[in-house]
Amino acid sequence: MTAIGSFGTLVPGVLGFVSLVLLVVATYVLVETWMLGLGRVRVYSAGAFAASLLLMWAIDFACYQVTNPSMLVGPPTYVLSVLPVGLYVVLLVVLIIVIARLAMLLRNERMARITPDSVKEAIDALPDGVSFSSVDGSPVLVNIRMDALAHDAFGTSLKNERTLWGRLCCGACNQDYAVEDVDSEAGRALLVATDGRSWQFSRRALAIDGVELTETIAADVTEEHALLMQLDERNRQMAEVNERLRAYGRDLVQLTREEEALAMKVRVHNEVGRAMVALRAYERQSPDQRDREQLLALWHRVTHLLEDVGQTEMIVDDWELLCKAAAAVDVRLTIEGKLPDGLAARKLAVMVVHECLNNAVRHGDAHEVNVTCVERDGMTELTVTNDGNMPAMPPEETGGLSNIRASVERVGGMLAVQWSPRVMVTARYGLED
Amino acid sequence: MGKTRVMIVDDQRLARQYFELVVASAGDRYEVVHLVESAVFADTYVLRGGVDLVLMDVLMTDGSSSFEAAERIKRLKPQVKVVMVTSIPEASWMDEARRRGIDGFWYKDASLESVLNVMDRVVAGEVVYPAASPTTMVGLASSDELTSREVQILRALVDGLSNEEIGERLHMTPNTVKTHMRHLLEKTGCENRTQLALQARVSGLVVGSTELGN
Repeated sequence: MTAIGSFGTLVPGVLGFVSLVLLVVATYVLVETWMLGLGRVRVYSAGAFAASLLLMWAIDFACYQVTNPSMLVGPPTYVLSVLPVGLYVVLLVVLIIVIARLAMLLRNERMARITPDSVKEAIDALPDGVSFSSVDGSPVLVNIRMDALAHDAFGTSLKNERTLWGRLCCGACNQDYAVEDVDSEAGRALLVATDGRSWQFSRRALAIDGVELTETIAADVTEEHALLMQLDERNRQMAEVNERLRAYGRDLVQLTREEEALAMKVRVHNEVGRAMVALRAYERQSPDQRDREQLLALWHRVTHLLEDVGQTEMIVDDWELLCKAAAAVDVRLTIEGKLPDGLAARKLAVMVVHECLNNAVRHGDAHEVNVTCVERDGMTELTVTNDGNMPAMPPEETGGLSNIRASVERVGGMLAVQWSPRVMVTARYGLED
Repeated sequence: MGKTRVMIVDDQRLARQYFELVVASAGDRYEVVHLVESAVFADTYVLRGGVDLVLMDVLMTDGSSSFEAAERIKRLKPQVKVVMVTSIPEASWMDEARRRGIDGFWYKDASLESVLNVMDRVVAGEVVYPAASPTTMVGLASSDELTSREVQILRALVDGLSNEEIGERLHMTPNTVKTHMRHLLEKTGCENRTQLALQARVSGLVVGSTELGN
């Protein structure tokens, strides 16, 4: 193998230059790996650096020996100059590969490593506003969007998160913005711009490595808010349609009833026609064939019908209907005082009396039911007694009585039943329409 | 055998008098003892045993529920016969009447039998119901073509409920309601649910629960 010294100055010079470049690169890799604290890679870098230094030193001395043969430094340098050139080339190639590999590792590590700058860069790229602040509101990290939003909506960049949240909660924003759906306890508020853009602000407390922080996010919900508004509008329209439908249903009931009434009138008309035909037949019949009683009965029914055909239906009060029902079962229903004026309170009173009336007839064979009704402290006090037979023992409270108890108690009232010396039901309740 | 004592419960004067005329035309078999304007206190009239048969209209506009009144009458006096009458072909009313133990049901316009026949048979101890409620058209569909579930959904629709509310009432998911609604729209040819609700109500196949005093 040819010694390096046999090539004159050119080959050792080239190898020396390459080794110098390699040393520079190894130095850079060593410095970077130490700065990044890359563990074992630092040891490998130090080794590569030392090997580069030694190789450059060896090549330099070999060159020195070649160019200045009279200035022999000693046996070591001589040895270096007689070593085969291939050995140097191989060592250089190996070192190049090792240092290149280390440089690649270094590059990958730098790519994977998140630095504060990369964090800031990343959150600045977000479409939503993000900020982290300390407990006193001082910003720790604020992205561009949040800062711009604070500036646009509140006229100042985010200098204190607590101040910003306070202004958001009380709606103290510029005239181009409005704050909706504020829920300060849950940490939520909606900021809506006049041009339709919307941001949902949400705020929560965080503890990172024992440090308490407040995270505030302003999520761009423009599309969702627009859809929600559309949905609200549709629901409103739907509610209107449903209400119209209900009103239509009520009208239709009336229409149906009118149709029924018309059908009844047609039937009455037919009855009258039948009576007329019967009258004509009667006139044509010989006296011995005539059935005067039958004709009179028919005309009696027809005239009875015609008496009321033109009359309009009278609206009858519930109490009057109940009195009529009581009279039909031979019960005299009397009232002392007057029933409540409010519709709901009056309806409940009539319901209580109805049930008491039924029980008085069924269980006591009563013929008189007395109602006392007074208004006291905004409450209706209703007492119902009867002249019926006393029950041998208090009957079990089921059916109607338990139903009216439930109805009275549902509106916050009370119902008391006294069985001795006579049956007395007292209901006390306050009910407004 | 004495006359059958009849109570007529109808909130329309003319209807009450027409039924009175019909009953009177039966001669000595029947006697009208009460003409009552509302179902709400109808049960009181039967307490002393002066009534054998009740003819009661289903639809009362004063908010009283005829079905509840009829059920109360049957509970108080099981021997009193009750015949419900109506001119509206609401699909569920016959089932409702059966469920509450009512003895007879008569459609004013559509029944083949006369009301007197129904009364005679009920008094004789029969339970008399038409074979089916009258057929009616909802848009392009005949009421026979609709399933009972679809009719229930139509009824809720007429009450003005949303899909979610219908689902809650009928114990089904909103998606199932939507599927039924789509089938109903396809069958009836209606363009939207509003039109469907109107058609259903106009046909009389369903009546909103609020109209019944429930």
